Amino acid sequence: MKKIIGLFALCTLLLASSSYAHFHYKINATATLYANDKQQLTAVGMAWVYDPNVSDMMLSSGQSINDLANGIMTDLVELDYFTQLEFNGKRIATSRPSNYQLVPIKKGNQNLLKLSFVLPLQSPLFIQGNTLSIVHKDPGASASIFYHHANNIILGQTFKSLCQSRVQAIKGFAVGEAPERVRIRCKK
Amino acid sequence: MIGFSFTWFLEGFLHPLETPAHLILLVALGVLLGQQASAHLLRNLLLFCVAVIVGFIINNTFSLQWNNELILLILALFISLFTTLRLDCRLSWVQWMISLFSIASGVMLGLDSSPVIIPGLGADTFYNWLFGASVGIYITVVIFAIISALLRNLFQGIILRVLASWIATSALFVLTLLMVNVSL
Repeated sequence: MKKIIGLFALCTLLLASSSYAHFHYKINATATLYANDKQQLTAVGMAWVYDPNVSDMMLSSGQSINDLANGIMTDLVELDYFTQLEFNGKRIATSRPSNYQLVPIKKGNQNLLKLSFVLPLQSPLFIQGNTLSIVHKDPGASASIFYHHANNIILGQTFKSLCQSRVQAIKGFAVGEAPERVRIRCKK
Repeated sequence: MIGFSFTWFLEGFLHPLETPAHLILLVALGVLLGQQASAHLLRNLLLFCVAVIVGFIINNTFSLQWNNELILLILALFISLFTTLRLDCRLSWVQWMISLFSIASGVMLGLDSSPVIIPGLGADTFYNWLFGASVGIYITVVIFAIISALLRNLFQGIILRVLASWIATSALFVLTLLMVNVSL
Protein backbone atom coordinates (compact mmCIF):
# COMPACT_ATOMS: atom_id res chain seq x y z
CA MET A 1 0.00 0.00 0.00
CA LYS A 2 2.93 2.33 0.78
CA LYS A 3 4.23 1.77 -2.75
CA ILE A 4 0.85 2.77 -4.22
CA ILE A 5 0.71 5.94 -2.10
CA GLY A 6 4.28 6.77 -3.18
CA LEU A 7 3.43 6.35 -6.84
CA PHE A 8 0.30 8.47 -6.46
CA ALA A 9 2.42 11.19 -4.83
CA LEU A 10 4.80 11.06 -7.79
CA CYS A 11 1.90 11.36 -10.23
CA THR A 12 0.51 14.32 -8.28
CA LEU A 13 3.90 15.99 -8.60
CA LEU A 14 3.86 15.38 -12.35
CA LEU A 15 0.34 16.74 -12.67
CA ALA A 16 1.17 19.79 -10.53
CA SER A 17 3.99 20.63 -12.91
CA SER A 18 1.40 20.91 -15.69
CA SER A 19 0.67 24.46 -14.53
CA TYR A 20 4.07 25.43 -15.99
CA ALA A 21 3.43 27.78 -18.90
CA HIS A 22 4.30 27.04 -22.53
CA PHE A 23 7.49 28.83 -23.63
CA HIS A 24 6.96 32.11 -25.38
CA TYR A 25 9.00 35.24 -25.95
CA LYS A 26 8.58 38.85 -26.96
CA ILE A 27 10.08 40.88 -29.76
CA ASN A 28 9.94 44.68 -29.75
CA ALA A 29 9.62 45.81 -33.35
CA THR A 30 10.02 48.90 -35.48
CA ALA A 31 8.85 49.01 -39.10
CA THR A 32 10.02 51.44 -41.78
CA LEU A 33 8.23 52.02 -45.09
CA TYR A 34 10.44 52.38 -48.18
CA ALA A 35 9.30 54.08 -51.38
CA ASN A 36 10.66 54.53 -54.90
CA ASP A 37 10.76 57.75 -56.94
CA LYS A 38 7.18 57.15 -58.14
CA GLN A 39 6.01 57.30 -54.52
CA GLN A 40 5.18 53.59 -54.54
CA LEU A 41 5.77 51.34 -51.55
CA THR A 42 8.66 49.00 -52.39
CA ALA A 43 9.61 47.37 -49.11
CA VAL A 44 9.07 47.30 -45.37
CA GLY A 45 12.14 47.37 -43.15
CA MET A 46 11.94 45.50 -39.86
CA ALA A 47 14.02 45.95 -36.74
CA TRP A 48 13.34 43.35 -34.06
CA VAL A 49 14.82 43.44 -30.58
CA TYR A 50 14.61 40.04 -28.89
CA ASP A 51 13.71 39.86 -25.20
CA PRO A 52 16.56 39.33 -22.69
CA ASN A 53 15.82 35.61 -22.25
CA VAL A 54 16.00 34.67 -25.95
CA SER A 55 18.88 37.13 -26.58
CA ASP A 56 20.81 35.35 -23.83
CA MET A 57 19.98 31.91 -25.30
CA MET A 58 21.22 33.01 -28.70
CA LEU A 59 24.35 34.69 -27.38
CA SER A 60 25.24 31.61 -25.36
CA SER A 61 24.45 29.15 -28.18
CA GLY A 62 28.13 29.01 -29.17
CA GLN A 63 27.44 30.34 -32.71
CA SER A 64 29.09 33.44 -34.13
CA ILE A 65 26.82 36.45 -34.75
CA ASN A 66 27.07 35.91 -38.53
CA ASP A 67 26.17 32.22 -38.28
CA LEU A 68 23.32 33.09 -35.96
CA ALA A 69 22.02 35.74 -38.38
CA ASN A 70 22.18 33.30 -41.30
CA GLY A 71 20.46 30.62 -39.20
CA ILE A 72 17.67 32.99 -38.14
CA MET A 73 17.02 34.13 -41.72
CA THR A 74 17.02 30.53 -43.01
CA ASP A 75 14.56 29.40 -40.31
CA LEU A 76 12.37 32.47 -40.88
CA VAL A 77 11.80 31.53 -44.54
CA GLU A 78 9.58 28.60 -43.48
CA LEU A 79 7.82 30.81 -40.92
CA ASP A 80 7.06 33.54 -43.49
CA TYR A 81 9.23 35.97 -41.49
CA PHE A 82 6.36 35.99 -38.93
CA THR A 83 4.98 38.74 -41.17
CA GLN A 84 1.97 39.26 -43.41
CA LEU A 85 1.58 42.54 -45.24
CA GLU A 86 -2.00 43.23 -46.24
CA PHE A 87 -3.26 45.79 -48.73
CA ASN A 88 -6.94 46.58 -48.07
CA GLY A 89 -7.20 43.21 -46.32
CA LYS A 90 -5.55 41.22 -49.12
CA ARG A 91 -2.13 39.66 -48.59
CA ILE A 92 0.75 41.19 -50.53
CA ALA A 93 3.41 38.90 -52.02
CA THR A 94 6.89 39.58 -50.69
CA SER A 95 10.35 38.42 -51.76
CA ARG A 96 13.19 36.93 -49.76
CA PRO A 97 15.14 39.61 -47.86
CA SER A 98 18.68 40.07 -49.12
CA ASN A 99 19.82 42.68 -46.61
CA TYR A 100 19.89 41.62 -43.01
CA GLN A 101 22.05 42.03 -39.97
CA LEU A 102 22.12 40.92 -36.37
CA VAL A 103 23.80 43.17 -33.84
CA PRO A 104 24.26 42.94 -30.09
CA ILE A 105 22.91 46.01 -28.29
CA LYS A 106 22.97 47.09 -24.69
CA LYS A 107 19.87 48.31 -22.86
CA GLY A 108 20.64 49.21 -19.26
CA ASN A 109 22.60 46.24 -18.01
CA GLN A 110 20.96 43.83 -20.47
CA ASN A 111 22.67 42.41 -23.56
CA LEU A 112 20.07 42.13 -26.30
CA LEU A 113 20.10 41.14 -29.96
CA LYS A 114 18.64 43.27 -32.70
CA LEU A 115 17.76 41.76 -36.05
CA SER A 116 17.23 44.13 -38.98
CA PHE A 117 16.06 43.12 -42.43
CA VAL A 118 14.22 44.61 -45.38
CA LEU A 119 11.22 42.70 -46.68
CA PRO A 120 10.84 43.68 -50.36
CA LEU A 121 7.46 43.64 -52.11
CA GLN A 122 7.32 41.53 -55.28
CA SER A 123 5.90 44.52 -57.12
CA PRO A 124 5.75 48.19 -56.00
CA LEU A 125 2.38 49.39 -54.77
CA PHE A 126 0.49 52.69 -54.64
CA ILE A 127 -0.86 52.82 -51.11
CA GLN A 128 -2.27 56.34 -51.46
CA GLY A 129 -6.01 56.21 -50.67
CA ASN A 130 -5.69 52.72 -49.24
CA THR A 131 -4.86 50.84 -46.05
CA LEU A 132 -1.75 48.81 -45.38
CA SER A 133 -1.77 46.38 -42.45
CA ILE A 134 1.15 44.61 -40.84
CA VAL A 135 0.26 41.32 -39.15
CA HIS A 136 2.82 39.32 -37.18
CA LYS A 137 2.08 35.66 -36.39
CA ASP A 138 4.26 32.78 -35.27
CA PRO A 139 2.99 29.39 -36.52
CA GLY A 140 5.02 27.78 -33.74
CA ALA A 141 3.05 29.82 -31.15
CA SER A 142 6.14 31.05 -29.31
CA ALA A 143 6.87 34.59 -30.46
CA SER A 144 4.75 37.71 -29.97
CA ILE A 145 5.82 40.82 -31.86
CA PHE A 146 4.91 44.20 -30.39
CA TYR A 147 5.14 47.75 -31.68
CA HIS A 148 3.44 49.24 -28.60
CA HIS A 149 3.17 52.71 -30.18
CA ALA A 150 2.52 54.26 -33.60
CA ASN A 151 5.90 56.04 -33.30
CA ASN A 152 7.50 52.67 -33.99
CA ILE A 153 6.07 52.74 -37.52
CA ILE A 154 8.44 54.99 -39.45
CA LEU A 155 6.62 56.31 -42.50
CA GLY A 156 9.60 58.03 -44.14
CA GLN A 157 9.62 61.23 -46.18
CA THR A 158 7.31 59.93 -48.93
CA PHE A 159 4.45 58.73 -46.75
CA LYS A 160 4.88 61.04 -43.76
CA SER A 161 2.51 63.71 -45.06
CA LEU A 162 0.05 61.23 -46.63
CA CYS A 163 -0.33 58.40 -44.11
CA GLN A 164 -1.26 57.87 -40.51
CA SER A 165 -0.26 54.80 -38.57
CA ARG A 166 -2.21 53.22 -35.75
CA VAL A 167 -1.26 50.45 -33.37
CA GLN A 168 -4.13 48.86 -31.49
CA ALA A 169 -3.60 46.15 -28.87
CA ILE A 170 -5.71 43.00 -29.26
CA LYS A 171 -7.10 41.95 -25.90
CA GLY A 172 -6.77 38.28 -25.00
CA PHE A 173 -4.62 37.36 -28.01
CA ALA A 174 -3.36 33.78 -28.12
CA VAL A 175 0.41 33.30 -28.02
CA GLY A 176 1.68 33.16 -31.58
CA GLU A 177 -1.27 35.17 -32.87
CA ALA A 178 -0.95 38.88 -33.66
CA PRO A 179 -0.96 40.83 -30.36
CA GLU A 180 -1.61 44.14 -32.13
CA ARG A 181 -3.52 45.49 -35.10
CA VAL A 182 -1.16 47.70 -37.12
CA ARG A 183 -2.85 49.86 -39.76
CA ILE A 184 -1.41 52.54 -41.99
CA ARG A 185 -4.12 54.61 -43.66
CA CYS A 186 -3.09 56.89 -46.52
CA LYS A 187 -4.85 59.81 -48.18
CA LYS A 188 -5.04 60.17 -51.94
CA MET B 1 26.79 20.01 -32.91
CA ILE B 2 23.60 19.80 -30.87
CA GLY B 3 24.10 20.16 -27.13
CA PHE B 4 21.73 19.22 -24.35
CA SER B 5 19.48 22.09 -23.31
CA PHE B 6 17.54 21.61 -20.09
CA THR B 7 15.12 24.48 -20.98
CA TRP B 8 13.98 22.79 -24.18
CA PHE B 9 14.06 19.33 -22.64
CA LEU B 10 11.74 20.56 -19.86
CA GLU B 11 9.49 22.29 -22.41
CA GLY B 12 9.09 19.00 -24.29
CA PHE B 13 8.79 16.95 -21.12
CA LEU B 14 5.90 19.07 -19.85
CA HIS B 15 4.07 19.20 -23.18
CA PRO B 16 2.13 15.91 -22.77
CA LEU B 17 1.32 16.88 -19.18
CA GLU B 18 0.07 20.34 -20.18
CA THR B 19 -2.15 19.07 -22.97
CA PRO B 20 -5.43 17.64 -21.60
CA ALA B 21 -6.02 15.28 -24.56
CA HIS B 22 -2.48 13.85 -24.23
CA LEU B 23 -2.69 13.39 -20.48
CA ILE B 24 -6.10 11.70 -20.63
CA LEU B 25 -4.89 9.27 -23.33
CA LEU B 26 -1.64 8.52 -21.46
CA VAL B 27 -3.52 7.75 -18.24
CA ALA B 28 -6.07 5.62 -20.12
CA LEU B 29 -3.37 3.66 -21.93
CA GLY B 30 -1.23 3.22 -18.80
CA VAL B 31 -4.18 1.84 -16.87
CA LEU B 32 -5.05 -0.58 -19.71
CA LEU B 33 -1.47 -1.79 -20.19
CA GLY B 34 -1.01 -2.40 -16.45
CA GLN B 35 -3.75 -5.03 -16.50
CA GLN B 36 -1.70 -7.41 -18.63
CA ALA B 37 0.88 -9.98 -17.70
CA SER B 38 4.41 -8.53 -17.61
CA ALA B 39 5.55 -10.12 -20.92
CA HIS B 40 2.62 -8.57 -22.83
CA LEU B 41 3.03 -5.30 -20.94
CA LEU B 42 6.68 -4.97 -22.02
CA ARG B 43 5.86 -5.87 -25.63
CA ASN B 44 3.09 -3.28 -25.83
CA LEU B 45 5.21 -0.62 -24.10
CA LEU B 46 7.92 -1.22 -26.68
CA LEU B 47 5.38 -0.99 -29.52
CA PHE B 48 4.09 2.24 -27.99
CA CYS B 49 7.60 3.75 -27.73
CA VAL B 50 8.38 2.92 -31.39
CA ALA B 51 4.97 4.26 -32.48
CA VAL B 52 5.62 7.62 -30.72
CA ILE B 53 8.88 8.02 -32.68
CA VAL B 54 7.08 7.05 -35.92
CA GLY B 55 4.48 9.73 -35.08
CA PHE B 56 7.22 12.35 -34.59
CA ILE B 57 8.76 11.46 -37.95
CA ILE B 58 5.41 11.57 -39.79
CA ASN B 59 4.57 14.90 -38.13
CA ASN B 60 7.84 16.48 -39.22
CA THR B 61 7.83 14.99 -42.72
CA PHE B 62 4.24 15.51 -43.83
CA SER B 63 1.87 18.28 -42.88
CA LEU B 64 -1.26 16.28 -42.10
CA GLN B 65 -4.35 18.37 -41.45
CA TRP B 66 -6.12 16.01 -39.07
CA ASN B 67 -8.12 16.96 -36.03
CA ASN B 68 -5.57 15.30 -33.73
CA GLU B 69 -7.20 16.38 -30.49
CA LEU B 70 -10.51 14.80 -31.48
CA ILE B 71 -8.82 11.51 -32.47
CA LEU B 72 -6.76 11.46 -29.23
CA LEU B 73 -9.88 11.91 -27.10
CA ILE B 74 -11.89 9.30 -28.99
CA LEU B 75 -8.98 6.86 -28.57
CA ALA B 76 -8.85 7.64 -24.83
CA LEU B 77 -12.60 7.07 -24.61
CA PHE B 78 -12.40 3.64 -26.32
CA ILE B 79 -9.34 2.58 -24.29
CA SER B 80 -10.94 3.50 -20.97
CA LEU B 81 -14.20 1.76 -21.92
CA PHE B 82 -12.11 -1.31 -22.81
CA THR B 83 -10.58 -1.17 -19.31
CA THR B 84 -13.97 -0.74 -17.69
CA LEU B 85 -15.21 -3.94 -19.36
CA ARG B 86 -12.29 -5.78 -17.71
CA LEU B 87 -11.99 -8.35 -20.49
CA ASP B 88 -9.77 -11.39 -20.10
CA CYS B 89 -6.34 -10.19 -21.27
CA ARG B 90 -5.31 -13.77 -22.10
CA LEU B 91 -7.73 -13.87 -25.07
CA SER B 92 -5.82 -13.37 -28.31
CA TRP B 93 -8.25 -10.81 -29.77
CA VAL B 94 -8.00 -8.74 -26.59
CA GLN B 95 -4.18 -8.84 -26.87
CA TRP B 96 -4.41 -7.73 -30.49
CA MET B 97 -6.73 -4.89 -29.57
CA ILE B 98 -4.39 -3.71 -26.79
CA SER B 99 -1.42 -3.79 -29.20
CA LEU B 100 -3.47 -1.85 -31.75
CA PHE B 101 -4.45 0.73 -29.11
CA SER B 102 -0.75 1.07 -28.09
CA ILE B 103 0.36 1.67 -31.67
CA ALA B 104 -2.50 4.05 -32.50
CA SER B 105 -1.97 6.05 -29.28
CA GLY B 106 1.80 6.30 -29.87
CA VAL B 107 1.41 7.46 -33.46
CA MET B 108 -1.27 10.01 -32.57
CA LEU B 109 0.72 11.42 -29.63
CA GLY B 110 3.76 11.74 -31.89
CA LEU B 111 1.66 13.40 -34.59
CA ASP B 112 0.27 15.95 -32.15
CA SER B 113 3.67 16.88 -30.72
CA SER B 114 5.10 19.88 -32.55
CA PRO B 115 8.29 21.27 -31.04
CA VAL B 116 8.93 24.89 -30.12
CA ILE B 117 11.16 26.40 -32.80
CA ILE B 118 13.04 29.66 -32.26
CA PRO B 119 14.56 30.84 -35.53
CA GLY B 120 18.34 30.60 -35.24
CA LEU B 121 18.17 27.97 -32.52
CA GLY B 122 16.13 25.58 -34.68
CA ALA B 123 18.05 22.29 -34.36
CA ASP B 124 18.89 22.89 -30.70
CA THR B 125 15.30 23.56 -29.66
CA PHE B 126 13.84 20.91 -31.98
CA TYR B 127 15.79 17.83 -30.84
CA ASN B 128 15.91 18.72 -27.14
CA TRP B 129 12.15 19.38 -27.18
CA LEU B 130 11.40 16.06 -28.90
CA PHE B 131 13.71 14.22 -26.50
CA GLY B 132 11.92 15.80 -23.54
CA ALA B 133 8.48 15.04 -25.03
CA SER B 134 9.36 11.36 -25.57
CA VAL B 135 10.70 11.00 -22.01
CA GLY B 136 7.57 12.76 -20.65
CA ILE B 137 5.26 10.49 -22.65
CA TYR B 138 7.10 7.26 -21.71
CA ILE B 139 7.46 8.08 -18.01
CA THR B 140 3.78 9.04 -17.67
CA VAL B 141 2.52 5.87 -19.33
CA VAL B 142 4.95 3.67 -17.34
CA ILE B 143 3.95 5.26 -14.01
CA PHE B 144 0.27 4.70 -14.69
CA ALA B 145 0.93 1.15 -15.93
CA ILE B 146 2.77 0.38 -12.65
CA ILE B 147 -0.06 1.88 -10.58
CA SER B 148 -2.56 -0.13 -12.61
CA ALA B 149 -0.54 -3.35 -12.17
CA LEU B 150 -0.41 -2.80 -8.41
CA LEU B 151 -4.15 -2.14 -8.23
CA ARG B 152 -5.05 -4.96 -10.65
CA ASN B 153 -6.14 -7.43 -8.01
CA LEU B 154 -7.21 -5.00 -5.32
CA PHE B 155 -10.97 -5.33 -4.59
CA GLN B 156 -11.25 -7.53 -7.72
CA GLY B 157 -10.16 -4.63 -9.91
CA ILE B 158 -13.08 -2.39 -8.94
CA ILE B 159 -10.73 0.57 -8.26
CA LEU B 160 -9.32 0.30 -11.78
CA ARG B 161 -12.79 0.10 -13.33
CA VAL B 162 -13.85 3.20 -11.41
CA LEU B 163 -10.63 4.97 -12.50
CA ALA B 164 -11.24 3.96 -16.13
CA SER B 165 -14.81 5.25 -16.01
CA TRP B 166 -13.49 8.58 -14.66
CA ILE B 167 -11.06 8.73 -17.57
CA ALA B 168 -13.90 7.99 -20.02
CA THR B 169 -15.93 10.78 -18.39
CA SER B 170 -12.96 13.19 -18.60
CA ALA B 171 -12.49 12.32 -22.29
CA LEU B 172 -16.19 12.90 -22.96
CA PHE B 173 -16.08 16.17 -21.02
CA VAL B 174 -13.10 17.49 -23.02
CA LEU B 175 -14.71 16.23 -26.26
CA THR B 176 -17.87 18.17 -25.42
CA LEU B 177 -15.86 21.34 -24.74
CA LEU B 178 -14.03 20.78 -28.01
CA MET B 179 -17.33 20.47 -29.90
CA VAL B 180 -18.56 23.79 -28.52
CA ASN B 181 -15.22 25.42 -29.46
CA VAL B 182 -13.96 26.13 -25.97
CA SER B 183 -10.20 26.40 -26.19
CA LEU B 184 -8.21 24.33 -23.67
